Amino acid sequence: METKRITYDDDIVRKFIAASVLFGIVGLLVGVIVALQLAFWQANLGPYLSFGRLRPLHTNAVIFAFVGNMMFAGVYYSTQRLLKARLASDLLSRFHFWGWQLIIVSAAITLPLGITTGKEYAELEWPIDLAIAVVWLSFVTNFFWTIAKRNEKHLYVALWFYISTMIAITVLHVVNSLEIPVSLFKSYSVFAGVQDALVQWWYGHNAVAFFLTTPILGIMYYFLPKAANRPVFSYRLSIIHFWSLVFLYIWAGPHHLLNTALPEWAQSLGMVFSLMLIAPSWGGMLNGLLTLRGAWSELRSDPVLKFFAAAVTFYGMATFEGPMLAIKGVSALAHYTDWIIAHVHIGALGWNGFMAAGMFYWLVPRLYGTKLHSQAAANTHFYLATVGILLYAASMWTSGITQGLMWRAENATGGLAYPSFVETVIAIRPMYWTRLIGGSLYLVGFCMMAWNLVMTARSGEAVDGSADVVVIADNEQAGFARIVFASPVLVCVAVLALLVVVAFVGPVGSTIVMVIAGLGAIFGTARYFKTSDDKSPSWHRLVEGSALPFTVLVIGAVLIGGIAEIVPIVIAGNNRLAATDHKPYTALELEGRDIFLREGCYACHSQMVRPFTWETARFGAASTVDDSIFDHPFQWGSKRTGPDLAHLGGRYNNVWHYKHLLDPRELSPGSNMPPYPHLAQNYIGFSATPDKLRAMRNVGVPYTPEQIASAPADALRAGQSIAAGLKTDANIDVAPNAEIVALIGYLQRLGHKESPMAALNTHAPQALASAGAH
Amino acid sequence: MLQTFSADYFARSPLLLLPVIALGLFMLVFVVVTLRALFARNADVAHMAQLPLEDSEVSRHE
Repeated sequence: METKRITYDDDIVRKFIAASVLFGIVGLLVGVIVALQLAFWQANLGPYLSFGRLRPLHTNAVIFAFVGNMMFAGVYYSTQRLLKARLASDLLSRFHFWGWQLIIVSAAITLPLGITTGKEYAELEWPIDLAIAVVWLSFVTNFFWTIAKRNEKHLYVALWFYISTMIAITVLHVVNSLEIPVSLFKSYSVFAGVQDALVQWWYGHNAVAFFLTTPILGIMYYFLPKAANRPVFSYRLSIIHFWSLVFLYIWAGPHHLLNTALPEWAQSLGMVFSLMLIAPSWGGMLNGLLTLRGAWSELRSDPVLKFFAAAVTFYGMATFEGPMLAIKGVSALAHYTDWIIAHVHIGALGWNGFMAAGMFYWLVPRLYGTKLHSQAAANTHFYLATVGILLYAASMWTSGITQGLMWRAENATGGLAYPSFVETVIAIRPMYWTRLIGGSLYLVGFCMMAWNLVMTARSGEAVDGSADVVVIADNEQAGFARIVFASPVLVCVAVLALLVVVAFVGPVGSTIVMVIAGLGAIFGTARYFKTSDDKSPSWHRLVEGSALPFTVLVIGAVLIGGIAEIVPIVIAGNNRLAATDHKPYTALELEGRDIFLREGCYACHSQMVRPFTWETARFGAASTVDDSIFDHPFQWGSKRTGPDLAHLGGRYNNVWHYKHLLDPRELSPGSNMPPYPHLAQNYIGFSATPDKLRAMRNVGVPYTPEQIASAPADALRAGQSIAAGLKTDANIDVAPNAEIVALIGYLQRLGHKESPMAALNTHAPQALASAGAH
Repeated sequence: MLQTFSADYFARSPLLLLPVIALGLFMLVFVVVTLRALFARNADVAHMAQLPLEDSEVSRHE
């Protein structure tokens, strides 16, 4: 047997850890700031630092910068050791590292500037989306290249989770980022309304699944046995855990859209698969916890085990709460409330944050050949963070349930007990302050960890791991055809085909076909296990040891649910487009909508009235698919810090909107909405408006060439009408092309099939210069 | 009865066959994987479970 000595690339691991800790502080700090803004509106310091713009910065920083860098560090460290091979390319590793940091910095600059797609958790504009794709593929390439030159035949289960992450995130990012560029910093999603909602939450939910869960589970399966110094409790359970999780997770996205205009069958699928997810999630959680069997006494003194045990426990809590929230009846109460905020933070702070802390405390001393600087500080970090999470979660649970109950509460005559939405905002303000305290405690603990890790690094020097490995021969790799055309796959396909046939034949025929399918499944399974007893390796063992077919099977598992849900909705949506009697937004309304997106209004306002009496009584008729059929992207929202806006148009006059945008508390005492005085001072040139209409036309919105050509003049004419009305009604002087005018135009359109100002649009080109615009 | 049920179900859209196929595929894979995991060779399982514990040495960084 040929052996060779290899040295692992641990420098890249150190780099990613440093970036994760740095951006973790930034992400958490921005989280504390946005929490303060909700409790104390005066903390909205100008347009660039308002809640609507900082909230996506917070979510992107925590998910992609903090957890992303932590995940890359864990993947690179464990992959090299599990494959007994140094990373294939130092160049690709460095490109990946610096490229990813550049993307994070780009996000930190563009999001406060209001450069956004308006899609939650995918706000970055198209040039950054392209950069993400390139950098991500460099990571994927390096990973699979390392697999190709590995010196360990079998792929440990952690690597399976990493592979699923790479496949799923690639697909999710590409599909959800399909957009038509208007300019360097502006694009529109190719999907609209219900289609966009489904694609977005297929992406959003699976970003949680395959960015925040599967790679961290892989890290758990590697680092937890290392820290406990004993193998995983049940490797068999880990196999079932993996395949069940990747098959089920991809289906669960529609649980974010329960009781909305999404077709009923898709909602049911989302709910059922979310409930089924409890099984593999808890299987994994128990597998992790039971790995600590016999090591419980060490939890008292070892901060690494303490963080890992608590992280897995939080994972169990979040993966129990998630399926419960996905039940339609529970969702009716919890959706759009702070309960969801509690849920995601149990996952992010408890599961991701604690796994990161445990991994860092275990890794950094080893990467610098020294001991942890302060065990006491690490233990203090643990207790501060735990109390912080509990305060956070308890306050948001209370807040969310209070919101949900107040929204539906009835008075003695059957009307709304709290007809003014702001009553619910005032009621939960103490909870916002409590949340702020909890989040701040977590941040303080995190900063203690950063100090502890820096001191640890300074007390040692960088060291790289090395090992003597046995080189494996190429002929030990299984061929693609031997795996894909093996009996288990062929039996599955045949049985499935027979089950499909059942739907198309009569009662007698379907019974016969089902019996044949059942017998085929039994005999196929029996034959498989019979051949497994032979000397040749079994099919699943070949799959475990052969990366390419394994990857193909994972692609199938990941794609099948997405295709099965999205394709019918996209086709049905395209058919609906031809039948709708709704008209596209006018030029001014479209400009106003872009301002709505830029300011991040969707972070607090939904545009989806659910079919409940307490919602229709408060917000108007239940929303339909047609209401958002021209919305690229959709704006159904996910949280109601403010009221739903689906039928806002015509509810208040233009003067009310003008004053409310400048000073929300003048008309709505107790509101925590930021003021937007800059909208009255910023002006729209309308020179880019035709490009916007043209881009919309390219994604299916039926604008005519005449509408596109006359867009600047139409927009200005509509703006003049609004400005003149403001002058007449309240002696307000505002330019017809001020941003606030366009936004008012958009808000007044909401809930109407066509523009209430449609008569003003004659499509006659008119020179802007003669119209008195700024 | 199955024919009636399927006719009602697919009347809304024949494309609803896609989720049914996917669901069936999941059930099949789940059963196969579970059986495979339960009947896997003990030696293989022990070897795989031991992989993270095969430690490396460390070398000083230059």
